[in-house]
Amino acid sequence: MSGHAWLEHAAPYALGALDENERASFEAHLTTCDVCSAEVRELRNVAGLLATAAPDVVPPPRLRERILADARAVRPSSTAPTHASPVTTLPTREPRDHRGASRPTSGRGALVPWLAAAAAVAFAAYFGQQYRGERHERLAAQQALAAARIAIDSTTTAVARRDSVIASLIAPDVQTVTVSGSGPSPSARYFLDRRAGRIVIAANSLPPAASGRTYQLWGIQTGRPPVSLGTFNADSSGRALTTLPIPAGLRIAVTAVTDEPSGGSAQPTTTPFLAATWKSE
Amino acid sequence: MHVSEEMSTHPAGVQSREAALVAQVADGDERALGELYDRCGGLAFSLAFAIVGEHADAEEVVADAFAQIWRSASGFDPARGSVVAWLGTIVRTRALDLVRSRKRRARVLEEAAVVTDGGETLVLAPTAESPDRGAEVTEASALVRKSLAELPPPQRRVIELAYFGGLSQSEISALLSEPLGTVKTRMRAGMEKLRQSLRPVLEAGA
Repeated sequence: MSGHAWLEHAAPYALGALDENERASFEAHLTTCDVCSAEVRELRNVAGLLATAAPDVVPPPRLRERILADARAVRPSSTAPTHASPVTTLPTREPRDHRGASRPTSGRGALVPWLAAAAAVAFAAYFGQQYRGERHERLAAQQALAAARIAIDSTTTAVARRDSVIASLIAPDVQTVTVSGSGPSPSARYFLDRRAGRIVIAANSLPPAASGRTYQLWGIQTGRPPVSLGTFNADSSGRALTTLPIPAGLRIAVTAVTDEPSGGSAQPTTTPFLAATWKSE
Repeated sequence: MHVSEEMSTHPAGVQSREAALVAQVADGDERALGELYDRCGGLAFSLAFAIVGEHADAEEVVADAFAQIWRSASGFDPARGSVVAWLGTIVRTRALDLVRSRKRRARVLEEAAVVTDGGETLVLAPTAESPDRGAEVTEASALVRKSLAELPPPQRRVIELAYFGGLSQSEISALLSEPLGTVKTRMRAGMEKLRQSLRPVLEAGA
């Protein structure tokens, strides 16, 4: 494309309507062209104003309470340990970055992990995360095993799955972390078997994910983006029990759960909870 | 954040107040989050609803969007656009993600599907103003609606399908059974007209 025929792309780009191949080449051009960048900036504001044309619908009053309650439960990034890290161009990323699961994560998208890790650590501290001594781990494992048996038996889950869960609970090198919420909030016990490469999460008081949503467990290695360990759901009694494999080579320092669209996400898109921090091997 | 700089750039517009609120939110000020919601929550909810078409889903979208803002308000860069544009991007992205994850067509597409080729029926029907939006936002909203209403319907439709439906130009071309070149031309022409007619709002605050 010659001259400023490129400018033709600015309007559809601002609307998030460029097709994939055009978008990629135009973004490359934008890095070197002030004229097109200025055009995009202005047209983005035009596109942004379209939001105000949506027909008025009044939100329910409880929504404000919910947002403020959620905010109180999570400290903002400015007070989290990784404040200095560049968390941040995230909100201004192109909407179409989210289209399709197959698209590789962009450089800007890679900032999500810092956010998630920071929130996970903050949550772990908030819930008074504690490590247990070896003996306590055994005891906790036995209790959880009993609970797991009941949970599994009552839902007549496959024997193979039960065996896998039990093996993870009683293996010699299993680390355990309990994350307890206060009152009716979810709690969970994790069993991490680094040698066998699997983790068990046994959660309670966890409402089933909403329609079209699922829970997703993440493993975070210090300084790396979160890695999905898999998705799971809770039953109508608020219990979940799942064994998930750990990708080879992943040295988990933090685990946390997020609520994601069915099928899971490439990176966390909601606030992590049930966060646990782990001792290194 | 750069409150004073922002204020001096936009001495009287609604954006200066909202940008200042975002800066306070970035510092962990919960009351600022509440005020930001009071000023923009109705807009966010209306936008989410226009895309997802269900109250419960719109609520999820807006709650998630404000949670994201609370965590990462320091990422707002006034040089890249207005608060409304930023918030709109967050809400729109989450709303489109939600409808895609459910393999559902956005509400705006369901409505567009029954529109005839004449393009007489508009995707967004005009509605009465809601009293709980900030006065300045309402003023901007009135101009945006008027400007959209003044566009030739075919131009308006491709813009609405892109923004509220999350469709690419090729997808719009397929949906409307119109040549891709026609869609491109209409989209550019429509956006250019909007830029001209929205100039007062853009200069005041964006």
